[in-house]
Amino acid sequence: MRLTMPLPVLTTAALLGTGEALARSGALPAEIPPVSEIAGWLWTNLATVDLWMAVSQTLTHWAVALVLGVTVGTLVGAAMASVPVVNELLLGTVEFFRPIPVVVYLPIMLLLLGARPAVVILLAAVAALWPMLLQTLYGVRDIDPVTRDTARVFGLTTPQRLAWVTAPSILPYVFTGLRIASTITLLVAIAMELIGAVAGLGNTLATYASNGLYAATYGVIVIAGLLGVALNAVFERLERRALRWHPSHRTQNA
Amino acid sequence: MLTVSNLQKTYGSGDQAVEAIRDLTLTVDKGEFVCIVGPSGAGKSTMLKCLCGLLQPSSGTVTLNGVPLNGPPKEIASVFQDYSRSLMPWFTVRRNVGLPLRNRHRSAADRAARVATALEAVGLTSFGGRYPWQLSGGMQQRVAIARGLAYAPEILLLDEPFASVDAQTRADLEDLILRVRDDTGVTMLLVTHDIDEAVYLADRVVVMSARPSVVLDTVEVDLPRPRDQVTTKQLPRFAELRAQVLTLIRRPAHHDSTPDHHSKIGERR
Repeated sequence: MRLTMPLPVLTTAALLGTGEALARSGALPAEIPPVSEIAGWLWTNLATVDLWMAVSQTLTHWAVALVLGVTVGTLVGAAMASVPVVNELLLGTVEFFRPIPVVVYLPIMLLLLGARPAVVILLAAVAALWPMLLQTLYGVRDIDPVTRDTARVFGLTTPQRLAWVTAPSILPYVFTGLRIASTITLLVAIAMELIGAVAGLGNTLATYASNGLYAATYGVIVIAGLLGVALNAVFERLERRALRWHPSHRTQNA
Repeated sequence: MLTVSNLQKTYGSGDQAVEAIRDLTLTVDKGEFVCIVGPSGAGKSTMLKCLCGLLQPSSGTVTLNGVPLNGPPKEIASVFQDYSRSLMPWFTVRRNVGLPLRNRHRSAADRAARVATALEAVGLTSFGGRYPWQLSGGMQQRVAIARGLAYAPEILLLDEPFASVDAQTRADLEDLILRVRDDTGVTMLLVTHDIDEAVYLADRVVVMSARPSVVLDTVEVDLPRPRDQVTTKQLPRFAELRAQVLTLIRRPAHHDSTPDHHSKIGERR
Protein backbone atom coordinates (compact mmCIF):
# COMPACT_ATOMS: atom_id res chain seq x y z
CA MET A 1 0.00 0.00 0.00
CA ARG A 2 1.34 3.42 -0.91
CA LEU A 3 1.48 6.00 1.85
CA THR A 4 -0.34 8.95 0.37
CA MET A 5 -0.70 11.05 3.51
CA PRO A 6 2.46 12.79 4.71
CA LEU A 7 3.52 11.64 8.17
CA PRO A 8 3.46 15.09 9.83
CA VAL A 9 -0.26 15.28 9.08
CA LEU A 10 -0.74 12.05 11.02
CA THR A 11 1.09 13.47 14.03
CA THR A 12 -1.00 16.63 13.97
CA ALA A 13 -4.24 14.67 13.63
CA ALA A 14 -3.26 12.39 16.54
CA LEU A 15 -2.43 15.36 18.77
CA LEU A 16 -5.66 17.17 17.93
CA GLY A 17 -7.70 14.00 18.45
CA THR A 18 -6.11 13.26 21.83
CA GLY A 19 -6.60 16.85 22.98
CA GLU A 20 -10.24 16.77 21.97
CA ALA A 21 -10.89 13.42 23.69
CA LEU A 22 -9.14 14.42 26.92
CA ALA A 23 -10.95 17.76 27.14
CA ARG A 24 -14.35 16.14 26.41
CA SER A 25 -13.77 13.42 29.02
CA GLY A 26 -13.27 16.06 31.70
CA ALA A 27 -9.73 14.97 32.48
CA LEU A 28 -8.42 18.46 31.69
CA PRO A 29 -9.14 21.67 33.62
CA ALA A 30 -11.55 24.24 32.17
CA GLU A 31 -8.57 26.41 31.12
CA ILE A 32 -7.85 23.90 28.37
CA PRO A 33 -10.90 23.76 26.10
CA PRO A 34 -11.58 21.08 23.46
CA VAL A 35 -9.97 21.58 20.06
CA SER A 36 -13.35 21.82 18.40
CA GLU A 37 -14.27 24.85 20.54
CA ILE A 38 -11.04 26.62 19.58
CA ALA A 39 -11.73 25.84 15.93
CA GLY A 40 -15.26 27.11 16.34
CA TRP A 41 -14.04 30.39 17.82
CA LEU A 42 -11.54 30.81 15.00
CA TRP A 43 -14.25 30.11 12.43
CA THR A 44 -16.63 32.75 13.78
CA ASN A 45 -13.93 35.35 14.48
CA LEU A 46 -11.73 35.07 11.42
CA ALA A 47 -13.90 37.66 9.69
CA THR A 48 -13.89 40.18 12.56
CA VAL A 49 -12.04 43.46 12.35
CA ASP A 50 -10.69 43.25 15.90
CA LEU A 51 -8.67 40.11 15.27
CA TRP A 52 -7.13 41.35 12.02
CA MET A 53 -6.42 44.68 13.65
CA ALA A 54 -4.36 42.88 16.29
CA VAL A 55 -2.60 40.79 13.64
CA SER A 56 -1.69 43.87 11.61
CA GLN A 57 -0.43 45.68 14.72
CA THR A 58 1.83 42.77 15.60
CA LEU A 59 3.02 42.43 12.00
CA THR A 60 3.85 46.13 11.92
CA HIS A 61 5.89 45.81 15.11
CA TRP A 62 7.59 42.77 13.64
CA ALA A 63 8.39 44.39 10.29
CA VAL A 64 9.74 47.68 11.61
CA ALA A 65 11.78 45.95 14.32
CA LEU A 66 13.18 43.44 11.83
CA VAL A 67 14.25 46.12 9.36
CA LEU A 68 15.89 48.13 12.14
CA GLY A 69 17.62 45.18 13.79
CA VAL A 70 18.76 43.63 10.51
CA THR A 71 20.13 46.92 9.17
CA VAL A 72 22.08 47.76 12.31
CA GLY A 73 23.20 44.15 12.82
CA THR A 74 24.46 43.80 9.24
CA LEU A 75 26.33 47.10 9.29
CA VAL A 76 27.96 46.51 12.68
CA GLY A 77 28.77 42.88 11.86
CA ALA A 78 30.36 43.85 8.53
CA ALA A 79 32.35 46.64 10.17
CA MET A 80 33.60 44.30 12.89
CA ALA A 81 34.62 41.67 10.36
CA SER A 82 36.45 44.03 8.04
CA VAL A 83 38.00 46.62 10.39
CA PRO A 84 40.11 45.04 13.17
CA VAL A 85 39.91 48.15 15.36
CA VAL A 86 36.11 48.11 15.30
CA ASN A 87 36.18 44.46 16.26
CA GLU A 88 38.51 45.16 19.20
CA LEU A 89 36.32 48.05 20.32
CA LEU A 90 32.99 46.25 20.16
CA LEU A 91 33.64 42.56 20.78
CA GLY A 92 33.51 42.77 24.59
CA THR A 93 30.38 44.90 24.56
CA VAL A 94 28.64 42.58 22.13
CA GLU A 95 29.56 39.50 24.15
CA PHE A 96 28.21 41.18 27.31
CA PHE A 97 24.87 42.41 25.98
CA ARG A 98 24.08 39.54 23.61
CA PRO A 99 23.03 36.93 26.21
CA ILE A 100 20.81 39.37 28.15
CA PRO A 101 17.14 38.67 27.41
CA VAL A 102 15.57 41.87 26.10
CA VAL A 103 12.59 41.57 28.45
CA VAL A 104 14.76 42.88 31.32
CA TYR A 105 14.79 46.30 29.68
CA LEU A 106 10.99 46.42 29.49
CA PRO A 107 10.25 48.00 32.93
CA ILE A 108 12.69 50.84 32.30
CA MET A 109 11.43 51.36 28.77
CA LEU A 110 7.82 51.48 30.01
CA LEU A 111 8.80 54.09 32.58
CA LEU A 112 10.70 56.12 30.02
CA LEU A 113 8.35 55.89 27.04
CA GLY A 114 5.08 54.47 28.35
CA ALA A 115 3.14 51.52 26.89
CA ARG A 116 3.69 52.52 23.27
CA PRO A 117 4.43 50.56 20.07
CA ALA A 118 7.88 52.19 20.05
CA VAL A 119 8.82 50.17 23.13
CA VAL A 120 7.84 46.89 21.47
CA ILE A 121 9.64 47.81 18.26
CA LEU A 122 12.82 48.91 20.01
CA LEU A 123 13.15 45.78 22.13
CA ALA A 124 12.25 43.43 19.28
CA ALA A 125 14.83 45.21 17.12
CA VAL A 126 17.52 44.64 19.75
CA ALA A 127 16.59 40.94 19.77
CA ALA A 128 16.82 40.80 15.95
CA LEU A 129 20.17 42.56 15.94
CA TRP A 130 22.29 39.85 17.57
CA PRO A 131 21.77 36.91 15.20
CA MET A 132 22.15 39.25 12.22
CA LEU A 133 25.34 40.76 13.60
CA LEU A 134 26.94 37.38 14.26
CA GLN A 135 25.92 35.87 10.93
CA THR A 136 27.29 38.86 9.00
CA LEU A 137 30.49 38.73 11.03
CA TYR A 138 31.02 35.05 10.23
CA GLY A 139 29.96 35.55 6.62
CA VAL A 140 32.44 38.32 5.88
CA ARG A 141 35.23 36.40 7.62
CA ASP A 142 34.41 33.36 5.54
CA ILE A 143 34.76 35.04 2.14
CA ASP A 144 37.07 32.83 0.10
CA PRO A 145 40.56 34.36 -0.20
CA VAL A 146 40.88 33.05 -3.77
CA THR A 147 37.66 34.83 -4.74
CA ARG A 148 38.94 37.98 -3.05
CA ASP A 149 42.27 37.74 -4.90
CA THR A 150 40.44 37.19 -8.18
CA ALA A 151 38.47 40.40 -7.68
CA ARG A 152 41.65 42.33 -6.93
CA VAL A 153 43.67 40.91 -9.83
CA PHE A 154 40.95 41.86 -12.28
CA GLY A 155 40.85 45.38 -10.94
CA LEU A 156 37.29 45.50 -9.57
CA THR A 157 36.55 48.73 -7.75
CA THR A 158 35.48 48.71 -4.10
CA PRO A 159 31.75 49.14 -4.89
CA GLN A 160 32.00 46.39 -7.52
CA ARG A 161 33.70 44.07 -5.06
CA LEU A 162 31.00 44.77 -2.49
CA ALA A 163 28.18 44.10 -4.94
CA TRP A 164 29.64 41.20 -6.94
CA VAL A 165 31.84 39.41 -4.43
CA THR A 166 31.15 40.36 -0.82
CA ALA A 167 27.36 40.49 -0.97
CA PRO A 168 26.84 37.15 -2.80
CA SER A 169 29.51 35.49 -0.64
CA ILE A 170 27.80 36.39 2.62
CA LEU A 171 24.26 35.86 1.33
CA PRO A 172 23.91 32.31 2.76
CA TYR A 173 24.86 33.65 6.20
CA VAL A 174 22.57 36.65 5.81
CA PHE A 175 19.59 34.43 5.06
CA THR A 176 20.27 32.23 8.07
CA GLY A 177 20.49 35.39 10.18
CA LEU A 178 17.26 36.71 8.65
CA ARG A 179 15.30 33.55 9.39
CA ILE A 180 16.51 33.42 13.00
CA ALA A 181 15.98 37.17 13.46
CA SER A 182 12.46 37.02 11.98
CA THR A 183 11.38 34.27 14.38
CA ILE A 184 12.92 35.94 17.42
CA THR A 185 11.43 39.32 16.49
CA LEU A 186 7.93 37.88 16.28
CA LEU A 187 8.35 36.08 19.62
CA VAL A 188 9.67 39.18 21.35
CA ALA A 189 7.06 41.48 19.79
CA ILE A 190 4.19 39.28 21.02
CA ALA A 191 5.78 38.86 24.44
CA MET A 192 6.33 42.61 24.88
CA GLU A 193 2.75 43.36 23.79
CA LEU A 194 1.56 40.81 26.31
CA ILE A 195 3.61 42.03 29.27
CA GLY A 196 3.63 45.72 28.43
CA ALA A 197 -0.04 45.93 27.41
CA VAL A 198 0.70 47.37 23.98
CA ALA A 199 -2.01 46.78 21.35
CA GLY A 200 -1.36 43.66 19.26
CA LEU A 201 -1.77 39.88 19.38
CA GLY A 202 0.05 39.64 22.71
CA ASN A 203 -2.22 42.11 24.39
CA THR A 204 -5.32 40.51 22.86
CA LEU A 205 -4.15 37.19 24.25
CA ALA A 206 -3.70 38.66 27.75
CA THR A 207 -7.14 40.26 27.65
CA TYR A 208 -8.91 37.04 26.64
CA ALA A 209 -7.02 34.98 29.22
CA SER A 210 -7.71 37.32 32.12
CA ASN A 211 -11.41 37.36 31.22
CA GLY A 212 -11.65 33.58 31.12
CA LEU A 213 -12.28 33.39 27.36
CA TYR A 214 -10.21 30.26 26.93
CA ALA A 215 -11.26 29.22 23.44
CA ALA A 216 -10.42 32.74 22.25
CA THR A 217 -7.05 32.64 24.05
CA TYR A 218 -6.07 29.45 22.25
CA GLY A 219 -7.44 30.81 19.01
CA VAL A 220 -4.97 33.69 19.24
CA ILE A 221 -2.17 31.27 20.08
CA VAL A 222 -3.00 29.28 16.95
CA ILE A 223 -2.89 32.45 14.87
CA ALA A 224 0.46 33.45 16.36
CA GLY A 225 1.81 29.99 15.51
CA LEU A 226 0.51 30.14 11.94
CA LEU A 227 2.01 33.59 11.54
CA GLY A 228 5.42 32.25 12.56
CA VAL A 229 5.17 29.33 10.15
CA ALA A 230 4.04 31.59 7.29
CA LEU A 231 6.84 34.11 7.81
CA ASN A 232 9.43 31.35 7.99
CA ALA A 233 8.08 29.84 4.77
CA VAL A 234 8.34 33.21 3.02
CA PHE A 235 11.99 33.57 4.01
CA GLU A 236 12.81 30.01 3.00
CA ARG A 237 11.27 30.67 -0.40
CA LEU A 238 13.26 33.87 -0.83
CA GLU A 239 16.40 32.04 0.22
CA ARG A 240 15.88 29.25 -2.29
CA ARG A 241 15.41 31.80 -5.04
CA ALA A 242 18.38 33.97 -4.14
CA LEU A 243 20.74 31.05 -3.50
CA ARG A 244 19.96 28.88 -6.53
CA TRP A 245 23.71 28.79 -7.17
CA HIS A 246 24.63 27.66 -3.66
CA PRO A 247 25.68 24.00 -3.18
CA SER A 248 22.81 23.42 -0.73
CA HIS A 249 20.18 24.57 -3.25
CA ARG A 250 21.56 23.39 -6.59
CA THR A 251 19.12 21.32 -8.56
CA GLN A 252 21.24 20.26 -11.51
CA ASN A 253 24.87 19.34 -11.84
CA ALA A 254 27.32 18.46 -14.57
CA MET B 1 58.92 43.51 -20.17
CA LEU B 2 58.41 41.93 -16.74
CA THR B 3 61.52 42.17 -14.61
CA VAL B 4 61.97 40.63 -11.21
CA SER B 5 65.15 41.51 -9.39
CA ASN B 6 66.33 40.15 -6.07
CA LEU B 7 62.79 39.45 -4.96
CA GLN B 8 62.66 38.36 -1.34
CA LYS B 9 59.57 37.58 0.72
CA THR B 10 59.36 36.77 4.41
CA TYR B 11 56.06 36.13 6.19
CA GLY B 12 55.70 37.16 9.82
CA SER B 13 58.49 38.54 11.96
CA GLY B 14 60.82 37.56 14.78
CA ASP B 15 60.81 33.88 15.75
CA GLN B 16 57.69 33.31 13.66
CA ALA B 17 59.28 34.59 10.47
CA VAL B 18 59.17 32.23 7.51
CA GLU B 19 61.32 33.07 4.53
CA ALA B 20 59.37 31.87 1.49
CA ILE B 21 61.59 33.41 -1.16
CA ARG B 22 65.24 34.28 -0.67
CA ASP B 23 66.40 35.69 -3.96
CA LEU B 24 64.62 35.57 -7.31
CA THR B 25 65.78 37.35 -10.40
CA LEU B 26 64.23 36.76 -13.78
CA THR B 27 62.92 38.56 -16.82
CA VAL B 28 60.08 37.68 -19.13
CA ASP B 29 60.20 39.17 -22.61
CA LYS B 30 57.24 40.13 -24.73
CA GLY B 31 55.59 37.14 -26.40
CA GLU B 32 57.65 34.63 -24.45
CA PHE B 33 56.28 31.49 -22.82
CA VAL B 34 58.12 31.04 -19.54
CA CYS B 35 57.48 28.14 -17.19
CA ILE B 36 58.62 28.17 -13.60
CA VAL B 37 59.13 24.78 -12.01
CA GLY B 38 60.05 23.94 -8.48
CA PRO B 39 59.31 21.32 -5.86
CA SER B 40 56.09 21.50 -3.85
CA GLY B 41 56.19 24.23 -1.25
CA ALA B 42 58.84 26.16 -3.16
CA GLY B 43 57.13 29.49 -2.67
CA LYS B 44 55.85 29.43 -6.24
CA SER B 45 52.44 30.80 -5.34
CA THR B 46 54.00 33.47 -3.16
CA MET B 47 56.14 34.51 -6.11
CA LEU B 48 53.14 34.72 -8.45
CA LYS B 49 51.25 36.79 -5.91
CA CYS B 50 54.18 39.22 -5.85
CA LEU B 51 54.24 39.27 -9.67
CA CYS B 52 50.56 40.12 -10.04
CA GLY B 53 50.67 42.79 -7.37
CA LEU B 54 48.65 40.97 -4.71
CA LEU B 55 51.61 40.79 -2.34
CA GLN B 56 54.25 43.37 -1.60
CA PRO B 57 57.77 41.85 -1.67
CA SER B 58 59.81 42.19 1.53
CA SER B 59 62.67 43.43 -0.61
CA GLY B 60 63.61 43.53 -4.27
CA THR B 61 61.49 44.88 -7.10
CA VAL B 62 59.01 43.78 -9.72
CA THR B 63 58.78 46.12 -12.68
CA LEU B 64 56.47 45.94 -15.64
CA ASN B 65 57.57 47.85 -18.76
CA GLY B 66 59.96 49.75 -16.53
CA VAL B 67 57.35 50.77 -13.97
CA PRO B 68 57.50 49.26 -10.45
CA LEU B 69 54.35 47.37 -9.47
CA ASN B 70 52.07 48.99 -6.96
CA GLY B 71 48.99 46.80 -6.67
CA PRO B 72 47.51 44.62 -9.43
CA PRO B 73 48.29 46.18 -12.84
CA LYS B 74 45.77 46.15 -15.66
CA GLU B 75 48.33 44.55 -18.00
CA ILE B 76 48.31 41.28 -16.04
CA ALA B 77 45.56 38.68 -15.77
CA SER B 78 45.69 35.53 -13.66
CA VAL B 79 44.38 32.01 -13.94
CA PHE B 80 44.28 30.38 -10.53
CA GLN B 81 44.74 26.71 -9.77
CA ASP B 82 41.48 26.46 -7.88
CA TYR B 83 38.93 27.34 -10.55
CA SER B 84 35.99 26.38 -8.35
CA ARG B 85 36.91 29.14 -5.91
CA SER B 86 38.15 31.64 -8.47
CA LEU B 87 35.00 31.55 -10.61
CA MET B 88 31.97 33.14 -8.97
CA PRO B 89 29.29 30.45 -8.57
CA TRP B 90 26.55 33.09 -8.42
CA PHE B 91 27.30 34.33 -11.95
CA THR B 92 26.82 32.56 -15.26
CA VAL B 93 29.83 31.68 -17.39
CA ARG B 94 29.19 34.77 -19.54
CA ARG B 95 28.98 37.05 -16.51
CA ASN B 96 32.15 35.54 -15.04
CA VAL B 97 34.12 36.10 -18.23
CA GLY B 98 32.74 39.62 -18.60
CA LEU B 99 33.28 40.52 -14.95
CA PRO B 100 36.57 42.39 -15.38
CA LEU B 101 35.44 44.23 -18.52
CA ARG B 102 33.10 46.73 -16.89
CA ASN B 103 35.87 49.18 -16.08
CA ARG B 104 37.46 48.92 -19.51
CA HIS B 105 34.73 49.03 -22.08
CA ARG B 106 31.75 51.27 -21.73
CA SER B 107 29.55 49.76 -24.40
CA ALA B 108 27.67 46.64 -23.41
CA ALA B 109 27.74 45.42 -27.01
CA ASP B 110 31.51 45.74 -27.06
CA ARG B 111 31.77 43.77 -23.82
CA ALA B 112 29.44 41.06 -25.11
CA ALA B 113 31.53 40.73 -28.28
CA ARG B 114 34.72 40.35 -26.29
CA VAL B 115 33.17 37.74 -24.04
CA ALA B 116 31.94 35.83 -27.09
CA THR B 117 35.39 35.93 -28.66
CA ALA B 118 37.05 34.70 -25.47
CA LEU B 119 34.53 31.88 -25.05
CA GLU B 120 35.04 30.89 -28.67
CA ALA B 121 38.80 30.78 -28.15
CA VAL B 122 38.37 28.14 -25.44
CA GLY B 123 35.59 26.29 -27.28
CA LEU B 124 32.76 27.11 -24.89
CA THR B 125 30.57 29.23 -27.15
CA SER B 126 27.36 27.40 -26.29
CA PHE B 127 27.95 27.36 -22.52
CA GLY B 128 27.71 31.08 -21.79
CA GLY B 129 24.35 30.78 -20.08
CA ARG B 130 25.38 27.96 -17.75
CA TYR B 131 26.73 28.29 -14.25
CA PRO B 132 30.36 27.24 -13.66
CA TRP B 133 29.32 24.45 -11.28
CA GLN B 134 27.23 22.89 -14.03
CA LEU B 135 30.43 22.26 -16.01
CA SER B 136 33.24 19.72 -15.62
CA GLY B 137 36.54 20.72 -13.99
CA GLY B 138 38.34 21.09 -17.30
CA MET B 139 35.56 23.26 -18.71
CA GLN B 140 35.60 25.45 -15.61
CA GLN B 141 39.31 26.03 -16.03
CA ARG B 142 38.64 26.95 -19.68
CA VAL B 143 36.16 29.54 -18.41
CA ALA B 144 38.88 30.94 -16.14
CA ILE B 145 41.27 31.06 -19.12
CA ALA B 146 38.60 32.82 -21.20
CA ARG B 147 38.17 35.38 -18.42
CA GLY B 148 41.91 36.01 -18.45
CA LEU B 149 41.88 36.40 -22.25
CA ALA B 150 38.85 38.69 -22.30
CA TYR B 151 40.77 41.04 -20.03
CA ALA B 152 43.21 41.39 -22.98
CA PRO B 153 46.33 41.35 -20.80
CA GLU B 154 49.92 41.68 -21.95
CA ILE B 155 50.84 38.86 -19.59
CA LEU B 156 48.77 35.91 -18.50
CA LEU B 157 49.94 34.40 -15.21
CA LEU B 158 48.89 30.79 -14.67
CA ASP B 159 49.31 29.28 -11.22
CA GLU B 160 49.41 25.47 -11.57
CA PRO B 161 46.34 25.81 -13.79
CA PHE B 162 46.04 22.14 -14.68
CA ALA B 163 46.88 20.57 -11.33
CA SER B 164 43.26 19.81 -10.45
CA VAL B 165 42.14 18.04 -13.63
CA ASP B 166 42.63 14.52 -14.95
CA ALA B 167 45.52 13.59 -17.24
CA GLN B 168 43.61 13.62 -20.54
CA THR B 169 41.98 16.98 -19.77
CA ARG B 170 45.35 18.26 -18.73
CA ALA B 171 46.88 17.43 -22.11
CA ASP B 172 43.93 19.05 -23.88
CA LEU B 173 44.26 22.22 -21.80
CA GLU B 174 48.02 22.38 -22.44
CA ASP B 175 47.36 22.32 -26.17
CA LEU B 176 44.57 24.87 -25.76
CA ILE B 177 46.98 27.24 -24.02
CA LEU B 178 49.57 26.79 -26.78
CA ARG B 179 46.94 27.51 -29.45
CA VAL B 180 45.68 30.57 -27.59
CA ARG B 181 49.19 31.84 -27.31
CA ASP B 182 49.78 31.37 -31.05
CA ASP B 183 46.51 33.15 -31.85
CA THR B 184 46.88 36.09 -29.47
CA GLY B 185 50.62 36.43 -28.95
CA VAL B 186 50.02 37.04 -25.25
CA THR B 187 53.02 36.57 -22.97
CA MET B 188 52.61 33.53 -20.75
CA LEU B 189 54.11 32.86 -17.35
CA LEU B 190 53.07 29.47 -16.03
CA VAL B 191 53.99 27.95 -12.70
CA THR B 192 53.93 24.18 -12.36
CA HIS B 193 55.55 21.36 -10.45
CA ASP B 194 55.27 19.09 -13.49
CA ILE B 195 58.55 18.98 -15.40
CA ASP B 196 57.09 17.41 -18.55
CA GLU B 197 54.47 20.11 -18.69
CA ALA B 198 57.05 22.87 -18.27
CA VAL B 199 59.34 21.53 -21.01
CA TYR B 200 56.43 20.82 -23.35
CA LEU B 201 54.97 24.30 -23.11
CA ALA B 202 57.84 26.69 -22.56
CA ASP B 203 60.37 28.68 -24.52
CA ARG B 204 62.33 28.87 -21.30
CA VAL B 205 62.09 26.96 -18.02
CA VAL B 206 63.14 28.70 -14.82
CA VAL B 207 63.98 26.18 -12.10
CA MET B 208 63.34 27.21 -8.52
CA SER B 209 64.76 25.59 -5.41
CA ALA B 210 62.81 24.46 -2.35
CA ARG B 211 62.00 27.08 0.28
CA PRO B 212 63.57 29.56 0.81
CA SER B 213 63.54 29.80 -2.97
CA VAL B 214 66.29 30.91 -5.26
CA VAL B 215 66.56 30.52 -9.04
CA LEU B 216 68.71 27.44 -9.60
CA ASP B 217 69.07 27.84 -13.32
CA THR B 218 67.27 28.65 -16.54
CA VAL B 219 66.90 26.09 -19.33
CA GLU B 220 66.28 27.27 -22.88
CA VAL B 221 63.81 24.97 -24.60
CA ASP B 222 64.80 24.70 -28.27
CA LEU B 223 62.10 22.24 -29.26
CA PRO B 224 60.39 22.99 -32.57
CA ARG B 225 56.91 24.49 -32.68
CA PRO B 226 54.07 23.73 -33.12
CA ARG B 227 54.38 21.16 -30.41
CA ASP B 228 52.50 17.93 -30.27
CA GLN B 229 51.69 15.74 -27.29
CA VAL B 230 53.00 12.63 -29.07
CA THR B 231 55.74 13.65 -31.47
CA THR B 232 57.32 16.41 -29.38
CA LYS B 233 57.51 14.17 -26.34
CA GLN B 234 59.16 11.44 -28.45
CA LEU B 235 62.06 13.68 -29.46
CA PRO B 236 65.41 12.77 -27.88
CA ARG B 237 65.87 16.48 -27.19
CA PHE B 238 62.69 16.47 -25.07
CA ALA B 239 64.14 13.70 -22.89
CA GLU B 240 67.44 15.57 -22.60
CA LEU B 241 65.80 18.82 -21.52
CA ARG B 242 63.53 16.96 -19.13
CA ALA B 243 66.55 15.22 -17.55
CA GLN B 244 68.38 18.54 -17.31
CA VAL B 245 65.50 20.16 -15.38
CA LEU B 246 64.98 17.10 -13.20
CA THR B 247 68.68 17.03 -12.25
CA LEU B 248 68.52 20.69 -11.26
CA ILE B 249 65.47 20.13 -9.08
CA ARG B 250 66.90 17.10 -7.31
CA ARG B 251 70.26 18.68 -6.62
CA PRO B 252 70.36 20.04 -3.05
CA ALA B 253 70.28 23.82 -3.00
CA HIS B 254 73.67 25.34 -2.16
CA HIS B 255 72.17 27.69 0.41
CA ASP B 256 70.90 24.73 2.39
CA SER B 257 72.21 25.01 5.92
CA THR B 258 69.99 22.63 7.85
CA PRO B 259 71.82 20.75 10.65
CA ASP B 260 71.55 17.36 8.95
CA HIS B 261 72.97 18.69 5.70
CA HIS B 262 76.15 16.65 5.89
CA SER B 263 74.48 13.41 6.76
CA LYS B 264 72.17 13.87 3.74
CA ILE B 265 75.14 14.19 1.44
CA GLY B 266 76.72 11.18 3.10
CA GLU B 267 73.64 9.09 2.36
CA ARG B 268 73.72 9.98 -1.30
CA ARG B 269 77.29 8.82 -1.61
